[in-house]
Amino acid sequence: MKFRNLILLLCLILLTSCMVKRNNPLDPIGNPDIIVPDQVSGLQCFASGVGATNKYVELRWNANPSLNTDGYYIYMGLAYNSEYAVVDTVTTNVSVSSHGGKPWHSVKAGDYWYKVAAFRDVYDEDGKVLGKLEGRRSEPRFIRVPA
Amino acid sequence: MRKTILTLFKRTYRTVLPSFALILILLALVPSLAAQDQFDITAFSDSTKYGWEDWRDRNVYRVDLIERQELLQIYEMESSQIGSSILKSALIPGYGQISSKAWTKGTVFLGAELLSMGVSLYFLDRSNYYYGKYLESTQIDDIQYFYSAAQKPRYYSWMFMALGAVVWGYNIYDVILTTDAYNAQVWQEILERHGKKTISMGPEGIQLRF
Repeated sequence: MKFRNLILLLCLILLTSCMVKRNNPLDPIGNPDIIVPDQVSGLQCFASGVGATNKYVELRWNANPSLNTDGYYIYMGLAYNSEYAVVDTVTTNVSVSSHGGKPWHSVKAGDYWYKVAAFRDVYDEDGKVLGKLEGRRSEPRFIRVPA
Repeated sequence: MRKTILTLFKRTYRTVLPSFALILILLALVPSLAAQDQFDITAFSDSTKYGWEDWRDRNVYRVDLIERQELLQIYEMESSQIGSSILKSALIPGYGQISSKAWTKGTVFLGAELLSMGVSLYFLDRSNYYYGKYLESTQIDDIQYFYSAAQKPRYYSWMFMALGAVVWGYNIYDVILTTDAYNAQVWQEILERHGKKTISMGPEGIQLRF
């Protein structure tokens, strides 16, 4: 019985020593004090009208509680399962953003998919910024920008 | 009266005790002195007790002894030292077996060790790749995905490293057996070679066997 327990203990020690360390300062499992931003919900997209000179896409969503969110990343892709790239960053906890709409920053006519993800600034004990922890991205939303 | 008896007893005790001890020592030496008388120098120098009837027999024995010493010298040259074999196998698994002419065994040990260590390093490299991605990740899904992706190959890496350690340990155990078997075979071959030798040269001249 003692021998079996010893073997089990040795196996446990071996398995524990094989574990990869959670050294990422933004990892909420390695750092239980970190608050993970909620997933963005209620995303809606509205495109500029037909014949608009400066085309844009307006995005609306339900704002997260300010406790867990400091801002939002806007992602855009060309298909549902395509790669998505950050096209805009909102640094306040608001529920609306406009992508494009300015002469130097407009959206071309076409079909797009948008996602939004909330982020939260993470600080260490000394108040130094460790990074921005991004939460789960919202479900993609389709929008067609007319010519 | 009582005091006088005690004094007399003490005086007797002092004078008699040394003489008594001397007698005891002499008695103890008597058997060995008697044995000295019985030592037979003729029997001691009698060479027939070794089975030699005359000087010819003694010469035959001497020749046989010289031959055996020669065989032993050949054996020392051709055999493998167990310590050296263990050291070789400890440094390069299978090398001790190869030096003991067990080519297949040595190659299998070397291959198994290289394979297990190679696979272990491959999985360690994969694990480190994903671990680097994990450290750079800022998105919660990416953090969890890359951590899991780093964890699994790390387990595999440790498993194959443990397998390599087991192969290494068994290789050390095996090299002892292999070297023993090889040395026994070497001795047998030396004896066979010596038995087949028809002509031999020695201090007495040339010998021819039929």
